[in-house]
This record gives sequence, C-alpha cells and structure tokens, in this order.
Amino acid sequence: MEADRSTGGDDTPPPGDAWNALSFLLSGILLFGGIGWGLDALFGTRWGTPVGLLAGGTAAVYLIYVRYGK
Amino acid sequence: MRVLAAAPGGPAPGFDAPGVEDFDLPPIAGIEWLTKPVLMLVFSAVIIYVLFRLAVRNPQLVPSKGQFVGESFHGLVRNSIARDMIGPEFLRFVPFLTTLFAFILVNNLFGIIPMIQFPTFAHPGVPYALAMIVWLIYMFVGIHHHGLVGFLRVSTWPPDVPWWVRIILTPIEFISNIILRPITLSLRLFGNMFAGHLLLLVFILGGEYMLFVADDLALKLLSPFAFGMGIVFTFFEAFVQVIQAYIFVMLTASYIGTSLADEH
Repeated sequence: MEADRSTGGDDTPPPGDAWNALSFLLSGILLFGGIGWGLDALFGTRWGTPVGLLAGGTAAVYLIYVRYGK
Repeated sequence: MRVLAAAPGGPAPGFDAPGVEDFDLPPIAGIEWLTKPVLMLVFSAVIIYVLFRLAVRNPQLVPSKGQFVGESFHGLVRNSIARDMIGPEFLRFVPFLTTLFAFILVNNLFGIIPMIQFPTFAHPGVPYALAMIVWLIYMFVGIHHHGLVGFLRVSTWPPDVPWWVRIILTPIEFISNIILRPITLSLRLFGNMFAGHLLLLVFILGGEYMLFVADDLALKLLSPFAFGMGIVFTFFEAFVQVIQAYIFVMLTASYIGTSLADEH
C-alpha cells in the first residue's frame, strides 16, 4: 500500500512504515497479552498471559509481513 | 526551588537529584493556570506569526534573505514531507503541516534558548492536545474520502489473507491505527523533550553542586567536566529537538496519506 506512494522511483519505503510496524507490534502484544491476562484472572490459570504475549507478538509480525512485506 | 547554600558549619547536604518536581513550575502572579509553559505557547505563536509576516511582507521574484528562509522552510515541508507522504492531494495539507512544524520546532528549541530553557512539550498535556488534533484530521479526512465503512476497511482490513487470520489481525490493526497512533505520537514527543530536559538538569545542577556545595576538593576540580557534558548535551538536544519536530510532522503526513490511500 504505502510503498506504492513513494514518488522518487526508488525502492525506499516511506519512513512512516517503520513507526507503523512498531505500533503493530505494540498493539498485538498489548491486545493478546491483555486477553491472556483476562483469561488467567477468570479461570485462575497462570499460563494465559505469556501465551497471549507470544501469540500477540507473532500475529503482529505476520501483520507487518502482510502489510509491508508482500 | 532547590536550596543550594550549605548550612553554615555543618556538613554539605547531599545532592538532590532533579526529578519530575522540576517540571512543576509555579503559577505566575497568583493565577493558577498561568505558568511559564502557557506563556511560552502564546509567545511561540507570536514569534511564528511575526517571522512569517516578515518573510512575506514584500515578496520579490529574487527573494530577500528573510523571504528565502521562509520559502525554504515551506518548501521543505511541501516537498520532502507532504508530497512524499500524502501523494497527489498533498497541497491542501501543506499550510497545516508547515504551521505544525514551525510550532513544534519553536517550542522544542525553547528548551535550549538561554533564559527560556524549558521545552514546552515536556508537559504531556501539550503533545496530547496536538495529537488529538492530528487524530481528528486523519480520521475526518479518511471518513470523508472513503466513507466510514470504507475507511475502516482501508485501515483495518489486511488484504489477501484467509478470513480466520483476519479475525486475529483486524483487531491489532484497529488498535494500532485508530487508538494507539495518537498516543504513541504524543508520547514520543513528550518523552524526548522530558528526558532531554532532565538530562541537562542533571549535568548542570550536578556541576553546580560539585562546584559550590560539595566539601570535597576533587569534586570541585571535576565540576568543569559536568558543565562540559552539559554543553555537549545542549547541542545534542538541539539535534533531538529538530528531529522530533520533523518526525511528528512526517508521521502526521503519513497518517493523512494512509487515510487517503486507495485499496488495491
């Protein structure tokens, strides 16, 4: 998407993409880590938060690939 | 205010490291809301108005020095920020982006200008307000351009993935693009200005303590190094202040550009 808008004809992606990727990572970890934490609190388990954090990070990396890597 | 004088006869007091309380400036003339950063915000608006008026007061085909500086500033925002980040419709956003850049730049540089020496954005309320304006603009531009559903589709609907992946990815993009953007935008500016000011306080107040308060001769002799680091970091801060103003405006333009971008 954004890569198509760069005008100079070179392949350098716009610098905003890097900050967006960081923002994806942050929101993925926050969202699924938060869900895991909530499930832990609900069921009294202890593995929900770490699994959620890892899953969120993984999903965010995949999202960065989908948006900017393809 | 910190007390620097040692108690007569007694041992020198320990160094009271600068902290968050150094950012709570007292009200001026007993008016609760009137503090130094408030005055600085008004002052920055006046400075920018006067400088731009002077720059375009008597426009010539061969520009004067002031006109040249003003036009270069506008040209920088127009060509290397707005046109690159927004695309074909960039022209109508250039006045806003130029003003935003000038406003943030002047307020950041206040942090190292002698006698002022306080970056306005070290108070998080100010960048929050700016980020909310930016949020309203890119949301409005996106909804105006695509419609509400279309805008949500552009900004939270990753292309070419199976539906069950979308269930996972769409909430992440929603949080990132709609909720987290203004927060990271303002915190980045706030954090840089806050930390930079704190760094200068540590070196300069530390040097002052070593020279005037501490009993130890070795500390007095070493104090020039603390002041020297203060000067080095003042130049470093000048660099950070310009860069952060640029990044804020560049990201604003990027968000507007994403709001206007068409789906493939």
